Amino acid sequence: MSYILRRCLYAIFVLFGVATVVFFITRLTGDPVTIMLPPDASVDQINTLKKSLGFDKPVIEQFGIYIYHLLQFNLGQSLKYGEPAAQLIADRLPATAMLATASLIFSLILAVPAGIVSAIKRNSSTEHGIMSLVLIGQSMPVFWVGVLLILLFSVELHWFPTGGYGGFNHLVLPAIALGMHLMALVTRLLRSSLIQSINSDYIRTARAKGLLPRAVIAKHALRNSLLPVVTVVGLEIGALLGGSVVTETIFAWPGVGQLLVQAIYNRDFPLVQGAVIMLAGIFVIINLLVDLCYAFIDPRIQYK
Amino acid sequence: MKMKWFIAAISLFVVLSGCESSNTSAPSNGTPSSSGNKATVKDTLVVAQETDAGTMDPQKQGKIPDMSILSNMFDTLVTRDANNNLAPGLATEWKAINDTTWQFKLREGVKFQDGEPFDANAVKFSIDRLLNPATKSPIVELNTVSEVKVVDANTVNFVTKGPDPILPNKVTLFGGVMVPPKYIQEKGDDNFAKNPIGTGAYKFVSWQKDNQVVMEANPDYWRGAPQIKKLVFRIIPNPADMVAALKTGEVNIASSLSSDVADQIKNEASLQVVSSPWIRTFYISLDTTQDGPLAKKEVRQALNYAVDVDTMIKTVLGGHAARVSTLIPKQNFGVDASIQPYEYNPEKAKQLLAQAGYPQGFSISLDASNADSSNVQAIAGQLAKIGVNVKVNLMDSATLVANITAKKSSPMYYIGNTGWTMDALSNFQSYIKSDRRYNRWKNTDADKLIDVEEQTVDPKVRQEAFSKLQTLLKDESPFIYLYQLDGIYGISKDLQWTPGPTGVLNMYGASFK
Repeated sequence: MSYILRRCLYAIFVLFGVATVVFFITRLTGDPVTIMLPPDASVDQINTLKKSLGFDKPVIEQFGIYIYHLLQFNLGQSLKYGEPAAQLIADRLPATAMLATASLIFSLILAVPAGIVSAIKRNSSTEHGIMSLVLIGQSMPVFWVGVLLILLFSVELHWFPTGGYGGFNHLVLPAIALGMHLMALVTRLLRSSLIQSINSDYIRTARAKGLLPRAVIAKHALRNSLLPVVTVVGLEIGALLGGSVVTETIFAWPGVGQLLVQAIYNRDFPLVQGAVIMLAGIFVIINLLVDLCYAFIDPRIQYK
Repeated sequence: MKMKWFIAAISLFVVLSGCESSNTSAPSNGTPSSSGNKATVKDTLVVAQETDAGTMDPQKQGKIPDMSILSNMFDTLVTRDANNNLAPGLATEWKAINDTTWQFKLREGVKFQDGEPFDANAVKFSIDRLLNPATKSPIVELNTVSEVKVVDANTVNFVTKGPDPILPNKVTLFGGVMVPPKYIQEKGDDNFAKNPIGTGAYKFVSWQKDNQVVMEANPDYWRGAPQIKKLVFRIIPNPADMVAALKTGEVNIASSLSSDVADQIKNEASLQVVSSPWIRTFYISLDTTQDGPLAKKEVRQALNYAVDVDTMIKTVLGGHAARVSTLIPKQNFGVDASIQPYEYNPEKAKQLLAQAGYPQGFSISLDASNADSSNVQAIAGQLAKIGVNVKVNLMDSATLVANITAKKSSPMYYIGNTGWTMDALSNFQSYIKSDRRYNRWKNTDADKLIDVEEQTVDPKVRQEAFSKLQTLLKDESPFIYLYQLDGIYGISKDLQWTPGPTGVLNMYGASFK
């Protein structure tokens, strides 16, 4: 219990750090007011807008106000949309979460069997086939895969729409594009981890006592090989949520990633801050959950 | 065991995707099959553009993509006809009754989409709301207006602080949008932004940010109901994806394409590329205020002689541009067609450089937006031929603008300007007079001429000032003058629609063949 409490304190510390860094980094990128107003705006108009947005105050004072608001869970108002940043992000989270979940399911459905098969059938043509495909999957950047998928499955075959948000149909191509890299990663990791387990003494014992090969793999080898896989998948969920920026742009998917990119282009400071803090928060929570998961997978691990 | 689960999961996946694809013929945004949906596509027009609107409150936006969407729901006092001349909109006629008063006669019998009548009070309310600092409007053109006076139910006077010769031009877009007083007072600003009501051809239905805006035809529209029943603006930030969506028939119009993207659809049987004159004009600003080569007039002239703009238009820009002699596009009031652009003459350029004391040329840096990379590289290549070694700094457009405004940009920067009022006043406004924000060239004659064209209502006097200004600008060359780009659109062949010169995507006149 005290472990969890301590981790939560760390989390708050990390979030405060993130909030501070993102505040000062955005301030380095220039003045948002000059971009909001057209070139014909007079100096008076610029100053009026600056004042009404609070950008006329010293940076330290702005920072104080920002932290004060943050402690009340107030992320401020978006400059572009004129709506609360938290609301805008909350509106986009379902789309991003949906995409991340879909690509996670896609990659695990393919990666787990592929990893097991290539570990069992070492040095066979099956293994070489799988590993070459995995290498290709890991080498292709998502923006390229995305465009290829659109060209093949949308433009040529008309199976799926080219992009946009909608039903299950709209989800397939972006989920594949986003999940490709994770799939390759998990396959390789599971394979090497499983190979290590298979060569260990307890597996020889299990085989010697006459267990079915299937049971040896599923109950003994696989379970012991999952620890690194869970760690990586856990970390990658965070990356899927935060790193879907490119995928969302290619597929015109209205998620947090696209919101964040647009906000950066528009110098929409409150929205950039809000989105970064929110993503960091999700990342921290997932990390904590992954650590807690270890105990279930490997009972030897105890938290103190 | 595990194989069973695997097979079960795969079959579930296949079944789900099968179910869904049979259900998607109804929604407008994703109709992947080009065959079965012809009937439904015919009364729905889908327009794709790169950026979404920031708000549905027309008085809180100031950019062309926002205006494109909103111009279908809202009307302006004045509009433009097929020849780009000012034409009646919600106002039927207008005249300057003295130097500081413009009088507008309003169209009778027009109603907002909720039934509220449009009248002189609505005009006063709209302009008062726009100018109220609490609105925080980014629209600044109408800051010359001191007061709107209601003369009678269908007549208003715009009283300006000084003479404003182009007030009617200014109310063709942004500031000229009319909003419903009663609706806004009763429902509040936030509600208005969520459920906008205008007098326009289409009614607001829904908006999912960065995905799509859906509108339906207003059957009671004062010009007559639009032919196409449903209008959807889809936001597709990636140009390659936009073209793909056009090819599959998911969208009918792909807007603001670049010439290399347009080449991809040239040979598609069901599509056409429409290249239409646009008023976005490009140039390179030269900083004459710093000591160095650019302070010398001969050097600036040499740079203009050294750039082969006509070849650039043919090659880099695929023919989708037109030459300009100074900063004014050919459609705008004030342009003097008798002033010829600089000819391409590298010999003369070298000669001028030698005269100025730079026979070996010099090195200089140039800022530009990433999007304009190939254009500035071409220019840098041509300048290298006369010994001017240009170091190109590419950045995102927001950073470029921020640097220019903060006067932190390089001695040369490449930028475009859309003078959407279609009067040369807007093209010169921020650059020419010594006290203006982007000025990097001081000239007392130019200052005087700017005062004349900005403060005189008589078009003849203004044209004379503009002609003199263009002669002066060509000779002094505080810019490298380049071209005005065409607006390039990919349009499905069964659609009839003519784009306008400001790039605003108004779909009222569109129809399917």
